[in-house]
Amino acid sequence: MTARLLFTGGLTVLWLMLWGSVTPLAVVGGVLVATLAMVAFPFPTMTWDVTFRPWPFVVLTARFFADVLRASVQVAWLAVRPARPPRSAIVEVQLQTRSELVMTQIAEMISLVPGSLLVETDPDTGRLWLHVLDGHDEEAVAHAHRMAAEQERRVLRAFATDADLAENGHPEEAA
Amino acid sequence: MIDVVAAVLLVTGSLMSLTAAIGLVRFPDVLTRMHAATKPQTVGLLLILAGIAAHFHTLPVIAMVSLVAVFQLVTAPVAAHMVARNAYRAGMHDSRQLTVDELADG
Repeated sequence: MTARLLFTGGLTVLWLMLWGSVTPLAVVGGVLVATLAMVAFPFPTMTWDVTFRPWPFVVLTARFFADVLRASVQVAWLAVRPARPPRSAIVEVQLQTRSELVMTQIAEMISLVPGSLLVETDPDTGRLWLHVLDGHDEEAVAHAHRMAAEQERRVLRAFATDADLAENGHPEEAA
Repeated sequence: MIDVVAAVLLVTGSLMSLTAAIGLVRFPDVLTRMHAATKPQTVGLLLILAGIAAHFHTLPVIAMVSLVAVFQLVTAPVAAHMVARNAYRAGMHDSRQLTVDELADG
């Protein structure tokens, strides 16, 4: 129930941002539309197995924006440089977590950071397949593996439950 | 001063989006093109949005461009994943382009 109220509130704020003004009419309209949306499109039942940690979240966000910028410059350079683009690779990544929310988060972020794009997932075994733009040699492929593992660790530190962290061999983080 | 910042952001963002377009044309197959369609395109848009926010710097405009930025960041990877997955499953990728394919081997 609290979650539904929270979502309705969030959707109302979104509505007000779209209108760009806070008038009584916009607020009433926003609450109505938000309620309607919540009734018409109920969330699928899923376990909300997330613990939020502020400082690791800041680290995750800062690193993410730096990575996105770096990724864009890299892809932009590969696009405009005279030589042909490098050969690429599809690599398999085994994630530690089984939390679907955390997995989604990791998958989304991986698609925007240097070199990788999500091709296929298997939520049951926690595996992702990534397309690596520059996968011309073994070192580049190994680098993609390391990068995915680091990305997962940052997301886990920011969001995973203590139990999930402890299970995945980072008990020092779970305090 | 603020207009100089806005101008620099707008021009840099446009150039970034231009490289995304060049990548779409020059990259060899669907999977590689998706890289161009997500990364420089997203950053290009974010820079342009930042430029707009810097130029107008009023609350309604900032609220609106923040929404556009958030939704772009959330939806671009999902869209790219959907296209990439379907292209791979339909065999529309160029497998000679790949040095390793652990999805085919697994």
